[in-house]
Amino acid sequence: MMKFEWNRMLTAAAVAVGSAILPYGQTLAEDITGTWQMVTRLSEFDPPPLGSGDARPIQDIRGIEAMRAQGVYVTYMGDYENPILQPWASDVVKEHVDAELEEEHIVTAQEVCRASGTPGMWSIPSMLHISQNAREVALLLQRDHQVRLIHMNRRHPADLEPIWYGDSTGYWEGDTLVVDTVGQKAGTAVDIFGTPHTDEMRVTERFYLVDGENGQKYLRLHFTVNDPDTFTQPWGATITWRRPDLTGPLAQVFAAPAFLGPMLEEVCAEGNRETENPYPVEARYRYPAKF
Amino acid sequence: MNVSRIMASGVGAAFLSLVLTGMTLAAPGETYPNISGVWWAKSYRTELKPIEGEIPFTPAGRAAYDSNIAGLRDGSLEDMARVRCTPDGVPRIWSSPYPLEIFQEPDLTTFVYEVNHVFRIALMDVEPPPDSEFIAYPYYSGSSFGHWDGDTLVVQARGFNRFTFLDATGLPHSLQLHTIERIRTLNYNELEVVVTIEDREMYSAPWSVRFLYEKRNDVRLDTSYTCGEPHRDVSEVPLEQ
Repeated sequence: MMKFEWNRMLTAAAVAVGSAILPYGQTLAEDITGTWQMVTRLSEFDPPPLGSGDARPIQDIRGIEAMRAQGVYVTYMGDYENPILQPWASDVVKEHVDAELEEEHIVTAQEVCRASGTPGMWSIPSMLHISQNAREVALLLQRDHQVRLIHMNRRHPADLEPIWYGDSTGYWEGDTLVVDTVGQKAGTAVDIFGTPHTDEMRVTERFYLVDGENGQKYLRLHFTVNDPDTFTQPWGATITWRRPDLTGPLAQVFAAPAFLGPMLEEVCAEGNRETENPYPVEARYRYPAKF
Repeated sequence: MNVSRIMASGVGAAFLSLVLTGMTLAAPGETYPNISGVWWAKSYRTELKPIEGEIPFTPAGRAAYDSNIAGLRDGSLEDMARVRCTPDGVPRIWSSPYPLEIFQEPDLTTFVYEVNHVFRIALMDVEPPPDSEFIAYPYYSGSSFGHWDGDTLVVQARGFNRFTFLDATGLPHSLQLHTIERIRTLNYNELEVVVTIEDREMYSAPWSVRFLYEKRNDVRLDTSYTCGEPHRDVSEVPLEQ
């Protein structure tokens, strides 16, 4: 046991001097790994950083202040007249709005815990945990235990078939983790309003630390969406996280008791159904299952 | 002179901080073994086979197994992990033909499995709380607590819910299930996982199973794995009889 205490003291001391040891990963000047709780907002994305050149994201047509006055905390009616939308995309957003007006709701993938790609995966607050090894950075979402892997310092595969999360490659630019994602299958929404995309979409994400309250560091993501078939210009947004607040009013919703680890096990899959198991291709409910 | 006492004190920590400023960090391998990266089974199992002897069922365990087999065969019992893609549980998650990836940090070891995109985060060097603490948090994958024993990562898991089987044939477990995984590399390219199953209600003695994996730096996990959609081709992974 003493050997291990020495190692932990080393690690703790190194963290104390502001340098993080990640034995099988990158040595970082600032540490973005660990657990993060999204700073609550009304499901709309926050605007991109000043000077980024990104257009602002689609917002709710009713306006934030009007909704706050009504006590509405989740927004679903996107501004389909926003000029960044190509006509077909505007039609899709309007379809969602029309449904809301009929008091129905067209769900997005993230709302039903399905793989939603990026930036759709950021459209609903969920606990996030970032892990790292020598080759990958893992983004783990508490919501239905979703995982996204960023392959560090490598290229996208030449023969990429579009899949929900596409392929993400990343590198460090100083203290900023820069991620490039391509090959995300069309059919998911990029925000809570149901705004669509094509599989040509390219998303650039930049993760970095900023100063938050009480001398804490907050994690910020600035993402930019490039999809000329869907959007008339690149648009971007920011998301901000803080370390989990185990004392605040949302602690019971989002945070696990410390003895359980950084996150709750959240399994939404009970409603899903494996209608085909192509290994091997045969009737479902085969007994015994193939593995 | 008791060095550990000095280290444990704040003075010791402060001294260490000063000493470490500007020092080179410990190289990989000098703190604890490296088991991180992508691993893929060399073969997989539908039916768990103990390392030694037969599965030591209690009468209740045997009855539960027979009942599970019958229920799965006639469809009255649902194999949720394969029908609804809920997490497989332990040790079944290790007997899969799909790859997995391990991430190591000083206070956590994270296992990410491609099948059903399951992840398990093991808290390192934390004593598992008594079973009563888990009554309110029954998980498919349980809660995991790890520590290093020489070159072996020992992971204790407990707090399992009742919606998993130990294997694809419906091997049962109760809420009292405790598993102990012993994970180590045999050489740089091979990972051995030995899982000991303890469940006094179903099994009269602990029994163990063994899995072997190969390091695969050429593989990227498909985390877009989605229930009901085509998955990676695993026909190259042989089924162990």
